[in-house]
Amino acid sequence: MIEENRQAVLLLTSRFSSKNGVFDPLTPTEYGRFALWLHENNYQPGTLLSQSDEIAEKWLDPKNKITTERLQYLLGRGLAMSLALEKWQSAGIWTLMRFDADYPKQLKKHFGQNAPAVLYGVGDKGLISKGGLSIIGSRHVDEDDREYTEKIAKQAALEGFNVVSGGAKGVDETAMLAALEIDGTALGIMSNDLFRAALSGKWRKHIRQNNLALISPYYPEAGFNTGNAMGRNKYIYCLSNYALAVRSEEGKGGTWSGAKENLKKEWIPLFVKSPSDATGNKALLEMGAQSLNLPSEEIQNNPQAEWLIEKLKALKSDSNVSDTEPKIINEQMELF
Amino acid sequence: MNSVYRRGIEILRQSLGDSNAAFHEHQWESISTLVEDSGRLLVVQRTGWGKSAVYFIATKLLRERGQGPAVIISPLLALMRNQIDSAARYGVRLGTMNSSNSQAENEHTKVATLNDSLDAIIISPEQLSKPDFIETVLKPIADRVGLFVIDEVHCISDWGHDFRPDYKRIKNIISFLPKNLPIIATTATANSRVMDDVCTQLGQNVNIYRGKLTRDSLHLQSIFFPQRSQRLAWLADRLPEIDGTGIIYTATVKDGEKVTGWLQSRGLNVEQYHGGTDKREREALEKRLLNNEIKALVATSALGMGYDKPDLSFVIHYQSPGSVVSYYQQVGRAGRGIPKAHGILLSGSEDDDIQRYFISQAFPNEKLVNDILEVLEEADDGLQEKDITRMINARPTKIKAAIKFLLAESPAPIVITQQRPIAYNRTLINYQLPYETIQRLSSIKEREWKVMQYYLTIDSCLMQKLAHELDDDLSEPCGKCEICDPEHSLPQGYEHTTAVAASEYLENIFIDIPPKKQVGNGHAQAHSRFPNYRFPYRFGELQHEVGRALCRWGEAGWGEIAKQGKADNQFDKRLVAASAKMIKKRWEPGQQPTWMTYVPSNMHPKLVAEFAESLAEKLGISYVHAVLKVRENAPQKDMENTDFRCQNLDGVFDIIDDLPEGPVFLVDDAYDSGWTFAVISALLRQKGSGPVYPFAIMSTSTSA
Repeated sequence: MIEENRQAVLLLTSRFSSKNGVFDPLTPTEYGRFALWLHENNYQPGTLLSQSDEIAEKWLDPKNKITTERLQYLLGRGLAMSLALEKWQSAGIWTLMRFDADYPKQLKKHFGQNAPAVLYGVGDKGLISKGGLSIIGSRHVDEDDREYTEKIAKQAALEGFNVVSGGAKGVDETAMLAALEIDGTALGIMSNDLFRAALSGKWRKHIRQNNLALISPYYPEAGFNTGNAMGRNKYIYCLSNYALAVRSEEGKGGTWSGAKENLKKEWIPLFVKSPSDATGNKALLEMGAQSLNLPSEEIQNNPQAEWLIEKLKALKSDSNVSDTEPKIINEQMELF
Repeated sequence: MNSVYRRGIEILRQSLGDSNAAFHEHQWESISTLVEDSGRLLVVQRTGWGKSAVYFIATKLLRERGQGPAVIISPLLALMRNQIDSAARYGVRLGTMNSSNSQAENEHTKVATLNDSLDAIIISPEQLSKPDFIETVLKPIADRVGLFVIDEVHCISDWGHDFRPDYKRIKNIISFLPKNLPIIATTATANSRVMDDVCTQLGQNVNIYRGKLTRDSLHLQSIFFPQRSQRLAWLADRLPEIDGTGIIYTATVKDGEKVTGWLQSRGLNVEQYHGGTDKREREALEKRLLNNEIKALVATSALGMGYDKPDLSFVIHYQSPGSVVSYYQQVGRAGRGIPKAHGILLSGSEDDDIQRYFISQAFPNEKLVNDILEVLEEADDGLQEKDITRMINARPTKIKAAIKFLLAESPAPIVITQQRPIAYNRTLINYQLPYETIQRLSSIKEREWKVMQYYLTIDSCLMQKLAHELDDDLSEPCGKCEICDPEHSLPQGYEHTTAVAASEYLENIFIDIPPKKQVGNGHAQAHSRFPNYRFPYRFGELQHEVGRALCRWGEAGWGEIAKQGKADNQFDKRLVAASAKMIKKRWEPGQQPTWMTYVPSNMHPKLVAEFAESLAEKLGISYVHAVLKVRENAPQKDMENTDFRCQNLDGVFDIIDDLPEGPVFLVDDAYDSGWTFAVISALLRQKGSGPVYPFAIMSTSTSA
């Protein structure tokens, strides 16, 4: 049944080609709603492959979005799914679903039924739940920001932190590659082009050495789109223990909106680069973020230094983040 | 009787125009599995049983229930019109998508499917290896497929006699199909092991329906004639005595040429057919045979699956196929709709070499694979095939085959990342050639070849032995083969005069050495190939004339003697006489050459020189050392592709001043890709020589 559950979840929630079909796949909220109903009625998603008529007859969407016609259409895309999976598998892409052991519990904790039904990824799955320090910023970096990002990322890696970011050009890539170059680990949560990234030279050797995982809740061949770029930022916060925003402009862009959301929802402690002339950085400081300067040269060159660890320990007392296993609202097995 | 059955039988009766028609055993159960259970099905039945009736009727029934169209994977050989008409009898509107269609035609089929005016489409297996096709044509349709059909499914089995890389992708695709999509797989040639393998790949709960594969109408015979000339003689004498029309299979294209040329010279109405023939011409030839306008097609295995002629009266093999099952696949085509048909297997002493060669070439070489992967690993982005060929000293055909093999591996170490032009990238996975699988498959092929060789020598019922290899049940001898009924078999003899004529024919086959017209496809390529000589990118006036080679390396007759001469570092004197004879009597170059020169070698300085000197003497023309080797190079025969061949010749030769007047013979011992001749001829012409006529003792070229 596991295999059928996986197939059913993919059929309901995934895209298999860049062109739009007759109906869109279910959104996280829509799937959340439907999955809950299935559970309450003792159905597993895989049953849809053999009893779809019976189930469709009983189901009535209160919001009238998930119609029988839409369900039958989505479930009838078997060949399209197969062609897509065959292609993705060749690039080393696997899928993680909410009922898989490696699916990050933090996402279930924070988003419950609306946690992404499917995560696509390449690389070591163990890196997904490792937490760590996320380093985010814009796609355009000046020399000063670049140097800062590299040094902090290296320091983090040196002190045993996983570096988490969005895998995009600019700050994200700089941070991840800096950590990877000194044999640290990294996790990239991508908003687009996972398939292309899986095949690109720059990530390949790190993935092979099990130092890097790249994941995405979106269609692996999706191109850039602002909505997804902003949308995935919340996952970056939820999959790390601390965050560092290198540069943000007040009121504009993904870094700003993500940081704001994090502070508002009190997910994880947030740092901003200091010193900085960025308007967003200043504003975030006023909203509760902490500033983070570069460590001194001595500390940077000292492999035994615990500079970052000390900084982060100092925050512990007034945060509601714990390093222990987050409690999940529902039993793991119940969440399809 | 439920309503689905009623409707099904109604469709069957309409299709046959017979209101009393009934389903054969298992036809209805098959249809029901697909339509009522959305299940999976393997149907193993001989051609003509009605496998397509099953999936066309199932398609029609599913469509009437509102399901999407059927996708049929089939190596389409039958004329497209026939397929479409055949489907129409069941009320199924069929479209086709394959590489012989134009892009517009494929596009039209796609659009028609999307707006629901088609009920089924046939796709040839090679299409599934084209990402472009999958993304733009197949995926849009794939959202609504109601039935998946795989014809000739034995091709996905490693254990099968006809395993193909293109089918490997199908295997991968099947593994991801959800159980709510019904699947039917069909074949007419599969033994138990292949069936088991296919079933495993189709998943759990597969229904299997298998019928008797062997045909009652077949009269089998097998005769061993060591020499080709004997087989040619037998064919020339016996073919007119066999009723009806049929197919003569050869193992190689070159043998096909010989057989066709010979039989035509004896006044027999035969034509050649092979994979390299133009598609439209192939269709025309298939049609002519179908309409009995020719006596036989002399074909390679390219005339294979999908060709169905109910009144095929004979299938003759000029050389042995590699396994009993593939023999059956070819000979089993005969006698479908007629009471008597002949299956005659001739075999010869060259068969073992041929089959061993095929076995050794079945999988790519490890070093080549590692080289390709390394070259792709170093590249930041994708590489095209031509880039790879430039970097690796290997034959383009081998590189192509290796790439195809690697693409089909699962998980694949390389993928196509760009469509126009096609570029390949290295994937994440660590990869090694699957030694065990390759070893296992090679051992299987070797074992099957041994069984085939044994079949050629048995003195018990031939049909029983065939059936045994197919895991068919044939408890009694057939009563019709040459063992059971020797009196009614075709005679094994042939006229002595015919045999003599056949030997002569073989000896007189000449091999042309056509000139190369271009150095490269443009100035840049020409300069990169010959940075020293800097030939213009078109040879133009520097081209040589059409030349000749006496024989093919190693082949019966002069070929063996020449091969031996090369090994002994001295050519038999008889080759001089034979060459002179060919030049004087059978080859009339446009203008008689008045002098002769040769291609020098530092490794074997006397071999060609002495031969050329003797030949010049015999022809009564002067002999000149006009070509000098001024630089060492690697043996030219070690160069595997054009870029390497050219660079290995660049700057190596020079020509003396004061050349004699008049056209000239340029002599070498072997002709392979022809670059040595092209380069030296160009240099001679640049020095003002008359027209150059290349002559080689033997051809080692695989394309000539």
